[in-house]
Amino acid sequence: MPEQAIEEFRLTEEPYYLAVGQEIDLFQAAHTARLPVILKGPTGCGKTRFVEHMAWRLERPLITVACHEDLSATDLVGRFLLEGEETIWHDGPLTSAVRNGAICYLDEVVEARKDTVVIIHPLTDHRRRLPIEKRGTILDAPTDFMLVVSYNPGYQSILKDLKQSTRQRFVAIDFDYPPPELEAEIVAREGGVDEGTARDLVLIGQKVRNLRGHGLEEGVSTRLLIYAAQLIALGIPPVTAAEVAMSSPITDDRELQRSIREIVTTVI
Amino acid sequence: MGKESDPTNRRQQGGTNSQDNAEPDVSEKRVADRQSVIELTRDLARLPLDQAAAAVEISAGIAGVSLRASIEFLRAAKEASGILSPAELRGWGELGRRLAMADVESGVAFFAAGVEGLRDVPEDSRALLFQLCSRQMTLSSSIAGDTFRDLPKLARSVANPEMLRSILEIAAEISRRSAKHSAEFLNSTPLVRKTLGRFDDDSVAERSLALTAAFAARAGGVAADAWSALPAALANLDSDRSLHLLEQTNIFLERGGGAALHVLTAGGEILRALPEIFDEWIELLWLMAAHGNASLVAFIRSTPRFIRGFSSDAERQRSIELSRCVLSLTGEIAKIDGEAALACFRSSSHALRTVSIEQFERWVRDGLSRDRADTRARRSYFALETRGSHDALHSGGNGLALESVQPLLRLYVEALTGRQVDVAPLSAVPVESRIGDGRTIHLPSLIAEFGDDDLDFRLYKVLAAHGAGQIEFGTYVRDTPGLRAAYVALTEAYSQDNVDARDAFALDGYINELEKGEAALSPKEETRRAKAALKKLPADSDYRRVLEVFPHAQLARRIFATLENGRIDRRLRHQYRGLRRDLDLVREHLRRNRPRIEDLPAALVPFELLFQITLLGGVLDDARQYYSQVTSELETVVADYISSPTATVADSLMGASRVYSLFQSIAPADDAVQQMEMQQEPSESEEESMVSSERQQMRRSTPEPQRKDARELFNAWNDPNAEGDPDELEGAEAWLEAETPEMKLEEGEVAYNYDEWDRDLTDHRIGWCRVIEKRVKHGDRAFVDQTRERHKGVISSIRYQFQLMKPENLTRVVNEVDGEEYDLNAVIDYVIDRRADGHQSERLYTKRLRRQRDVAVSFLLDQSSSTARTIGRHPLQPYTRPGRRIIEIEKEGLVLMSEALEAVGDVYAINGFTSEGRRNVKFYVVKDFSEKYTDEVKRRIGGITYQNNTRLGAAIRHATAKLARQDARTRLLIVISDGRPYDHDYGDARYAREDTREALRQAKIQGITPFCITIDRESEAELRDLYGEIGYTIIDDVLSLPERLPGIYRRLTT
Repeated sequence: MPEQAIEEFRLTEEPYYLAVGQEIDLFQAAHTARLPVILKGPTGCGKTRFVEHMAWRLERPLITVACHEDLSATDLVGRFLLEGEETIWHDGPLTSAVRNGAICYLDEVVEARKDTVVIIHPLTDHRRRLPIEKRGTILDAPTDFMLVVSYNPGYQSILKDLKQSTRQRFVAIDFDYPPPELEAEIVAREGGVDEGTARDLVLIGQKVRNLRGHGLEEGVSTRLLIYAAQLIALGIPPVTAAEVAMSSPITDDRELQRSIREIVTTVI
Repeated sequence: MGKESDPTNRRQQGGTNSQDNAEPDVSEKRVADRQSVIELTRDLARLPLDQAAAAVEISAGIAGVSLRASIEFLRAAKEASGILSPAELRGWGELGRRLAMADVESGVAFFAAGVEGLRDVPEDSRALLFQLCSRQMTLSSSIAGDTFRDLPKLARSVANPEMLRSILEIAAEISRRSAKHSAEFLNSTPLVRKTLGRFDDDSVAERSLALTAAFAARAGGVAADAWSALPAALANLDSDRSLHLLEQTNIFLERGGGAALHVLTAGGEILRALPEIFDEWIELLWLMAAHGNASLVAFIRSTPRFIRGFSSDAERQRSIELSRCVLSLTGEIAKIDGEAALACFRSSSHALRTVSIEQFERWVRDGLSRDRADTRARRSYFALETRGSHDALHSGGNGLALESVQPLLRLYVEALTGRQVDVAPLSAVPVESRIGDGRTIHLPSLIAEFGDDDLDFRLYKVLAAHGAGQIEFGTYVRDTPGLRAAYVALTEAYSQDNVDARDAFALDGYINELEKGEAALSPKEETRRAKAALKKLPADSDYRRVLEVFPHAQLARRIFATLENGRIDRRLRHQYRGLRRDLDLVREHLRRNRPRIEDLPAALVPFELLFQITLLGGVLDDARQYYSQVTSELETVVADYISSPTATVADSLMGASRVYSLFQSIAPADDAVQQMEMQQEPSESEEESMVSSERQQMRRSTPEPQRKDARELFNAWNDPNAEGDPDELEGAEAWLEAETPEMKLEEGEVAYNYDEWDRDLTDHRIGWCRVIEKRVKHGDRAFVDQTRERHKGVISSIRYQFQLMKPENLTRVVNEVDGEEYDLNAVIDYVIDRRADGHQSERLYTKRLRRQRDVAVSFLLDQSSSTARTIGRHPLQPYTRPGRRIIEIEKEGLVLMSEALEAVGDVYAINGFTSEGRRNVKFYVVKDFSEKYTDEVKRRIGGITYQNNTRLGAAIRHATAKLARQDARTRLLIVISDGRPYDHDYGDARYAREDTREALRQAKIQGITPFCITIDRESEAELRDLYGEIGYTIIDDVLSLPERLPGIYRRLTT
């Protein structure tokens, strides 16, 4: 990957992040100690935003890979591509991150195939190196390089659990939805609504999260609360906004949708 | 009396003589005997002539039976003559003679025992005794002997000559038909006598005896049962009620002894629990009696259970009303159809646990107005067996039924509270253990306040939110500092030392005279009291414990309940802005329906005012006009205590204390309480629930009975004395007296209930079949091994075929725009194309994709005894070609299938079933989806055997339910049967077929593909009737099943 391209991955503005606990200090310490980090927590609770924020703080470029079932080792490491008369090597995101001492963030790492995940193993122990088989070279990671993966322990089936040999290469930082006051602050800030509306939305969110395990796989995320707030800020009636952002997306079950709607009308 | 027994006598004589002869030293012994006979006879000569004559005569008779017995008689005769008259002596001797005829030893023992005991027995009873014993004797000599022996003891325990005579008369009467029963009768007498002795009024005993005599005359042995049932029946009854019961039982004797006996026992129970309804019950019995004794007896027998379901100490008056209502409704049905009435009566207790009495009544009326011709349908309706009936009960006519919104409300409440909360109907007979436990919210089973479903739902929502609010805002909290402080403060305020202070606090100095009477206390006593006053709130207590501190706990409870509702209302309004709309809606509704304040009796005015202030957002204009002073006082309390957004239950309690004092000052508390009590049962305890009092209040004040609901709605406080007995009944089944006996579940077994389709009713019968999931007993894995050996060739070819079906874990897809690897051919083409014309395809890559077979299959195997038939036996060579049982062939098919499925890797389960009536459908899990094909499973396959019947529908429903939980795209249910569903209570052949078809259709609706393999050829048309549009195949040559099964499977899944 050409040198200037990496600059595109550098964050120029501070991404908004409100610390809930010690996660910023922990992350910084892990970076200094060159430890890979696993971020655990439900969908939409701010893991990705946190990584962005930390990349900005540490002044490192951030390369994010959303993992999926068909993500292969080639996709991560790189491949030769035919360009005109010649074959040219293209770094994959992981290689590029290692080369540039960036933070590489593998989002939802369990979604990737197990054979794919294995290639990060040499990077995550004391060796900190990435073998590039196709070119027959080995890339040593610079001090600044950092591997961060995220993982949602809640909803995946057992089949998609992380292997112990993988898990035990990381330090883990737990995430959850922020406490109500902080969440209201986040919703107000990100969604552009007044404090009262934000507090209402957070209250609804809390109540809906109570249904986790009683029919809902996962509660409504902070992200969805922000979406609802954004819609409200644009003049959509709050009840409608709450419905399209907080009820329909999380369940298809009519009864559940109805009960969430009743909660919305109870609060707003 | 001797004449008719003479022939026997003679026969016996020979027998006994030979016995005597058989003894050793016969001749010597005889000599000795003769001597003693002479001596003894000489002694007798001293007796009065007639007695001596009688004795000699009898001894001669006895000697004909046994010489030893005769000697024993002569020995005892002297004594006996002093006690017995000559006639009695004869009777005695005759008894002994006949005893000796049966067994010499007992005869000897009989005489040896003498008649000393009879000394205390009045003469007239002795004659009866001899009569009784001789009657018993003809049936059983040993019983007669026992009777004679035990009589003195009996006479002592009865201790009343007249009664003894009556008892013996009855026993003699019974013994005409049954010696055993007469003995039982006498045996239970001491206990009965004790019971009867309890009554001051002798007439109870007289009537009991008369009744038993009537029983004996009419029904013989049943009299003994009736007699021994008396203590239980009359237990805890006063003499008036006992007499009433005895009289009614007597009248019922005309319906036979069995019916009357049941009336006696069940009637006793009613008189103990709910004496008020006894007469109605008797009336109903006569209605039932018109339909024959079977219905009558069944009805009476189900009564105790009915009574137990209804009587609850907390709400007596209500229980009476309810059971009256049920009885009169049952009576209406009984006028038409006895069995339907019985069914209705039995289902009533169950029904009333889920719906209100109004709904129940409507349900009954609906049932009555249905088709009158079809008695079977009507019976099923009232037995609550059909879905239609069930729906009719719960939905009611108009209004919104809780059942339709219950899951929704439960989710709503769970979301609000974040706890596992149940929503249950506030039914006519609440399940007591669940009231006030803080985990169950009780809501009315039907709301028809607004005549509009949306508005009715909003009312439900408000009520649910109130229930949730009680949980969220800590009504049921225990041991909080606030509660402890309230407890201490209130204990101090209401302890006796502080009466004066309290008097000063109250406005017009209401004084409890009891406390005033004690003037001076010893210092010791005073410190003890002071300590008691300062005692702490017991651990693990909630508001209920604190309420007990008030002298008039009931008054305090009512005030507290209203205040607490007000507090919850305020907190809900504060916390949930959106809910205010709904709360206002309900508030407006309630306001519209308030009674005019001047119409209320004075004692109820304060409560009405408090209700208006706390829950209606302020006093109505008319009330303010009349009671401005009190109103402003109450408003101050409400503002001080419960209006803060952080008010807790302790604040409500302290507020209640203020209002309590205030109420005592405006209306003397005694009056208020009295007035309340007057409306209720006088014997009511302080733990009276506020519901009934409020309801009664409403009844007085509003003409329309419907409106009472609106107020009652805010009532989770149904019965504050909640820690009652846990519900002794387990589920609905306990209420349905199943005619089909249910097998006991073995340990670890689980039973499931399934509906069944009734083609006559064109409706489902709810929970009709019980499917028991069982593990197969272990067999031998030899069966599997042999089958594998026998079909070795077939298996290997099947495995091969199935392996071909198995997709590669990863498939390589060529011609992709991007991918992991180059496709070399495509690259070559690319280069060539480029060189040739510059137009080249971009699709150069290969990709590896995951492909999965996503199949779950469940095999359901008919294990009924019809599969024991042997097929393929060669008629001419039965030994060399013996044929095989269908079940064995089915099992072979399963073995081959398992091999095939292991090869392809599909998830599969193997189940078998048989049935013995609808409550005992046995479902054998040979291999569950999650199990591996282990030795264990192989042994189980070997252990499959045939038995009983084929209730196909229930088995299919259970297999479907299990399969539906599997998470596969293709779900296949393969039923292997002989195509003839049958069970002894499975209706006719068409009924069974239609139920099966319905079960298969339901499976299909659930996204399961059923497929039926029929082993035996039935007529094609019937099979089509059985399987409907479901796929099926018939295997003509049964022996080919094992080979064909995998082929069928392959066709179905590819």
